[in-house]
Amino acid sequence: MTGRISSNLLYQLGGRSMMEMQAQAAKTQQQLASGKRILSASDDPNATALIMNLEVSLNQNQQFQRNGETSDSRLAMQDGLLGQMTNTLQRVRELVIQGKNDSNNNDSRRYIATEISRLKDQLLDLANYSDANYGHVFAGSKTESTPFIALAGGGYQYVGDDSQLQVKISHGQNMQVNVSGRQIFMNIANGNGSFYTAADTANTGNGAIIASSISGAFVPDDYTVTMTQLLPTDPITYQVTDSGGGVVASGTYAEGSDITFNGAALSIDGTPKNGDVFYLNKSQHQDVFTTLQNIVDAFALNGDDPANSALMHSTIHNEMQSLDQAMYSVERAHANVGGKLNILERQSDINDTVMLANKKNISTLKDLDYYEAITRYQQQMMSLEAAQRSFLQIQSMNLFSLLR
Amino acid sequence: MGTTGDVFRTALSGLSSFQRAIHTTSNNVANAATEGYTRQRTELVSNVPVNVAGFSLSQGVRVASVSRVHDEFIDRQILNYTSRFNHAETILDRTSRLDEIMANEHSNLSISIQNFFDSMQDTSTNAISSPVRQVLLDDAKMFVEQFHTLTKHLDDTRFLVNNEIKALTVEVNELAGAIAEVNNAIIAAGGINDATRLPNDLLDQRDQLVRELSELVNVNTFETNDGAINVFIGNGQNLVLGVRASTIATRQNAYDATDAEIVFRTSTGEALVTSMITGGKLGGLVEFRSDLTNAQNSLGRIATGFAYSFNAQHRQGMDLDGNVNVDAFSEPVPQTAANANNTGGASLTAAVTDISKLTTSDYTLSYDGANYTLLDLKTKAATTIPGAAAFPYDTGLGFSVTLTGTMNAGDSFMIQPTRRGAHLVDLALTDGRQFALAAPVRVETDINLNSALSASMTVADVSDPNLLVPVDIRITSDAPPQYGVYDVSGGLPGTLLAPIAAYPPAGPITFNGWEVTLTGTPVVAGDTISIRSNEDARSNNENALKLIDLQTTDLMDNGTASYQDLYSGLVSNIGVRAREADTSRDAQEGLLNHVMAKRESVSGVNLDEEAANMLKFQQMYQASSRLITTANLMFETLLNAVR
Repeated sequence: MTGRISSNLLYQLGGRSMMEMQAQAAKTQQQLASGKRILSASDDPNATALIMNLEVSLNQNQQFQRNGETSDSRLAMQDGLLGQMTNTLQRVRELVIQGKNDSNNNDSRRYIATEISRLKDQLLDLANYSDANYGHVFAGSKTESTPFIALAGGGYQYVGDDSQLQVKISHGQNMQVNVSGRQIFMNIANGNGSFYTAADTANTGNGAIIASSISGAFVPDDYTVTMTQLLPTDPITYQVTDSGGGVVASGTYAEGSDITFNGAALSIDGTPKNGDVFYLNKSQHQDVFTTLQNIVDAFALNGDDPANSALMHSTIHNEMQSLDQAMYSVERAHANVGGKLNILERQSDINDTVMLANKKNISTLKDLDYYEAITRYQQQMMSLEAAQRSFLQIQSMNLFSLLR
Repeated sequence: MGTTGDVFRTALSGLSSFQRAIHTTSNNVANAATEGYTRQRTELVSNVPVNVAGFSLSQGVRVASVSRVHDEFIDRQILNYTSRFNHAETILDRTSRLDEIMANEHSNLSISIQNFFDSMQDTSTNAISSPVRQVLLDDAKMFVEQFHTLTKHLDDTRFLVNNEIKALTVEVNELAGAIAEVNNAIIAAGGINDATRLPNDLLDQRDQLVRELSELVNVNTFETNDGAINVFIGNGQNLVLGVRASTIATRQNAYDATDAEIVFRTSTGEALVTSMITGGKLGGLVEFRSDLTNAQNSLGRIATGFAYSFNAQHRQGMDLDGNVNVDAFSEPVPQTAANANNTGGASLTAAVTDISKLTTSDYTLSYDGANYTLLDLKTKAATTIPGAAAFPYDTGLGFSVTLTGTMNAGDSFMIQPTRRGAHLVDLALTDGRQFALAAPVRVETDINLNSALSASMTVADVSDPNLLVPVDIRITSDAPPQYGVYDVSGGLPGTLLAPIAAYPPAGPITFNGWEVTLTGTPVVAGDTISIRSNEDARSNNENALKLIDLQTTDLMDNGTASYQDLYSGLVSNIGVRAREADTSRDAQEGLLNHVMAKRESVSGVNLDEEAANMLKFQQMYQASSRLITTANLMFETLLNAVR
């Protein structure tokens, strides 16, 4: 440039630089007031997009936490109910052991039967429990209807469904927060889980099944054990036939000793009469309420009659095993819920960690470094003041003003 | 030898010349702050000497010219940078306003999407709860309202931009007329060929007018011999030719009457010049309008993609009252418009076929008499549709077109697949109960202990009228294994829907719109698979979970982006545009300031310099006066000598 400068430009330059400095200071001031480094997307378009994505991720994690909390409250309810049910069944078990003792008379057994009946009703209440928020706990997704109903002709029916209610607790994880009552209370294998035993109700002797177990590989089928004693002097013999009528075992009956066949062992006590029949059938589904009802019914039999007493003992032996299967089923469900609660807790910790990291990243991108900003603001104000002072001095230097 | 009279004459020439020079100085001082003023300089030359008795006798001084001190090159640079600076500043101003709206935490669509899906998750954990569903309905309303608010803002912005374009064309015409008038005045004042009587003020005035014109649009000038200038804009359109000015005007877009197109009027007619207008505020507005198109289409694409994909899943579900196959949102349809100049009787409609393939472009469909051409207006990619194509014709761009009637050669249509998507999307539900969060049917398995039977079900056709009819699939015997399918709506055992068949079935068992696959052996007679309507299972949330998954699934842009990805992309794009405009504006401002400073250093008035000049000319004037006194003294001395 020539070094020549117009007076007009002198004013313009001074004015412009002061305006620019003021604009910069105003922006810094705005940043300080809002605490944000980015005031509009154009300040840092990449960071803005990143922040939006991070906020989406943060929100999603917050939602997962909220989902986790509702899941937790549902599962905690199940946890409590299943715990109480285990206690109830435990009490039933104690009563059964107490009741099958021969020191009881008919009256004391009737009291025990009454208490077990009450415990059965309590168990049914617990299974039909309806939560104020979420409806019936053990009804699958048919939460509005009572899932377990006693049928008029005896027996129980499940009218809930098997649908799973899933809740998202993380990006890749759904957690089932309901349980189907059918699995826990209805579909329980009776007896020892492989077979169940029974004495024919028409038996006339006092032979009672006192033990049964698996011995080797059980061949699932329905077996019938028939006792034969044609003359009172004859030894009592037994014959085991399968469902097709084929004889699988036979021999002389000895009180208390095992009759073994096809992987099953059966022990009968007392003296069966000719034509008395015992059964050993492959297990079927039997609901826990029916199991309890069968126990109640058995204890109601007249124990003073030897044949009835034998029937009671045979039935109690079998239903005791069924009761253990039911307890196992409830405890397994309970353990399952406990496991889910653990998973929820762990997932919650993971979500917290992710959220903390997200928040930190967002803050790094979005928030203002106050020390830097304040320093910058002071520098800008200083520059502005210097510009103002120098402008005043330059514009007062004018040859015309010196002419006299 | 000179005479005393010569001294007088010489002194007088000095007096008048310095008087003129002081006048020029005073004019400079007076105009020191006048915008566009060019400082003037008085050029003095000595008069031609005369020969007197063999001596060359100087004849004093005269004013050769009073001329403007300017640099032609700098003036052209100023025009150039003025136009570029205004172009960038116009884009920056409009884009940053857009930027603020789109990224604002209150109007940010991403947050509305998040709220809606959060609500959906809350509802999924308690699908039966009416209050929770009501919150979901409110969040859905707010979500579509957000689309409407944003698109309304974009529409309003476009309306304003169109109005501004109209207003600026009027300004361009006014300036062109003024330049032609000044051209006329300059010619009348004798042009620029007589240096002693240059029309300096007219020249300044004209320069200023051209500079103002360059704020509006990029201009080129060419000076003619008579002192007039010709002004060209755009692609060489001669806006001013000597004393004659042409005009530009706006007219309605051939497809969209609300969009203003710029035309250049000549004696023979109008020529469309919208795309040739570059630079200046007008060029900036035209460019911003295409950014706006992009933003409108992007937003519309999110709305369209959301509505179609959400509905597709929603129709698969069942609401709290047992209804299936219901849309949750109204689905935006692509917009089509016929060219106003079409001569054939054809009409065109378009429909969305695949949201993942939708783009943010607008298209035209034209006919050359044999084939159709589909032109992407953004990428300028053309695809040919054979003349014999069957309609609806899937373009492969996410939409199909259906032409009815016959197009004449030269006819065309505009297709805007997503432009009004954000406007047309709406909530179709009126009650939270209507959200279809449950699967319509479920399968229940009631099987015996030693059976390995298991079943899985999918719903293939939710529109089947018998979908909800209760059906049992029962194993009727285990040796040989056989099954029967029973309609049990009339109670057990039900009526056979097909003859008893051997188990396992060859493929899925298909009735009433569902498919059940049976697996596992052995099976036990009495095993029952029940297909039941979920009307009574109102806590079921299977469909809600699938709807929730839509939020994070990359459904859009050829399966690369989710709804929210597209929105953050849109915001980021606008941010980048604003930043580009900001950088460009700063750069152009710097360049403009630099050439302005250069111009000031050449043509601007420096008061100190003028003060110095004034003192100089004043002293010279005083000296010339003194010469007259001296000559007078000489004359008197001579007179006294002869008295």
